[in-house]
Amino acid sequence: MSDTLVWLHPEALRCHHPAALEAPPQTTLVFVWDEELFREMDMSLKRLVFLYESVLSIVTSLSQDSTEARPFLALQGRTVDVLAERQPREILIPDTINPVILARAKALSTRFSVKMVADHPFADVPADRDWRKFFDYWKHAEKSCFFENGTPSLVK
Amino acid sequence: MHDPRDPARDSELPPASLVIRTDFKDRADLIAHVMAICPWAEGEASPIPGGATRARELLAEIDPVAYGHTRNFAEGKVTRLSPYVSHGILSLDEIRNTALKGCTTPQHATKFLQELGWRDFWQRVLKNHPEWAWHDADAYKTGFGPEDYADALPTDIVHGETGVASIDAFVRELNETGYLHNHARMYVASYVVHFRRIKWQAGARWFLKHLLDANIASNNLSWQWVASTFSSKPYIFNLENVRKYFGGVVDVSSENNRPLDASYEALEERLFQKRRVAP
Repeated sequence: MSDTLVWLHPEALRCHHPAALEAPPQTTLVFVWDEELFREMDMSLKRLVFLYESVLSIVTSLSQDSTEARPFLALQGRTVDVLAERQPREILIPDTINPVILARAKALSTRFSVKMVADHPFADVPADRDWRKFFDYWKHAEKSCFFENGTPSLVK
Repeated sequence: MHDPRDPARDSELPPASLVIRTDFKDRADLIAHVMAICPWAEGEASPIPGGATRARELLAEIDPVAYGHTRNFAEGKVTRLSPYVSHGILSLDEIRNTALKGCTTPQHATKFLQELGWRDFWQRVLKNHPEWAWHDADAYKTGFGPEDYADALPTDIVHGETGVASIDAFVRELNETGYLHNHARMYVASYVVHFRRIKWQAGARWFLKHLLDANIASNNLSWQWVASTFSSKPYIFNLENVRKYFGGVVDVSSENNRPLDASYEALEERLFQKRRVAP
């Protein structure tokens, strides 16, 4: 049984996503080649090839970088079954608005503790505002997005 | 036959998990493998490669200042980073940080950062309103109701055989590469919704299938923006506009683009005949 798993889904293919960084050292990062998921997302061949290459890129870079502590597994099967087999205590999932991925996260949450982890923010804007017009959003975003890491700093 | 198990990990993996194949002699071998394991997948592979190597090459080439001046043009200094962003290989934060390092003052990156901001904006809108992924956020401002729009994309559009040369060129590029300049996407979306009167959902679904940077928030809400169900007016374009930004890249002759060859006033009269007064 593993304590924590990180599911790197098709919209979060990097080992330094905050979900991976938040996990304890030696947490396994898992990508699942889930055909059922991809058919639900109606992916064309070009999208599937791009995805496969992107996953392969992680495998290749990890094999060349012995400093990366986290094991990465690229497995094949149904996402919920593959992750459930490892009997994690907790699953960290990069946050997304993709409804197909969210449905898998919801299914996992009925059996395991699941935490959605946001990516590094582009801008510091109120999360609960109901944005309807871009330039209303931009009036807030421009106060922080011109700074590195989206954080205004007094230190030059 | 390739054994998908990783012998080094046999002792760690539960019995049912298979490791994906990672030994390919070249790209063609990988493509053949994906075709074999996903025989249901439509179309051809794109020449655009996935993965962090290409993403970082493109990231190193960004020019936020040139982007600001040329982004609407076919051969403008667009970054082509969007497929890598959509797959999470690069984050908006990382791209922003790189862009700022390339500018003498942050304000030189305004247009560039605004474009990143649009992506962030769409994500936030859809997070608050997930139903808008596939439902009209508002009424059409075209004078028509949803019942006036066809549900399905005709095959001539999907195959790039509309007879409108510029549109057909854009569709071919979409089908062959999975990438399209943002301005061209707006042209195609406008043609589908307003010139052919087809529901934006059909077009959005089509784009999501083929675009390497498919993102349901950016894509679907952009289609709604063009359609006017998430904007105050419909987006339309004419041949003069295509000539200005894509002349020299696609066929912009009048004879081969007749439906587009009109003034905006004439197009509004033709396309939105039953215009209702907006509340």
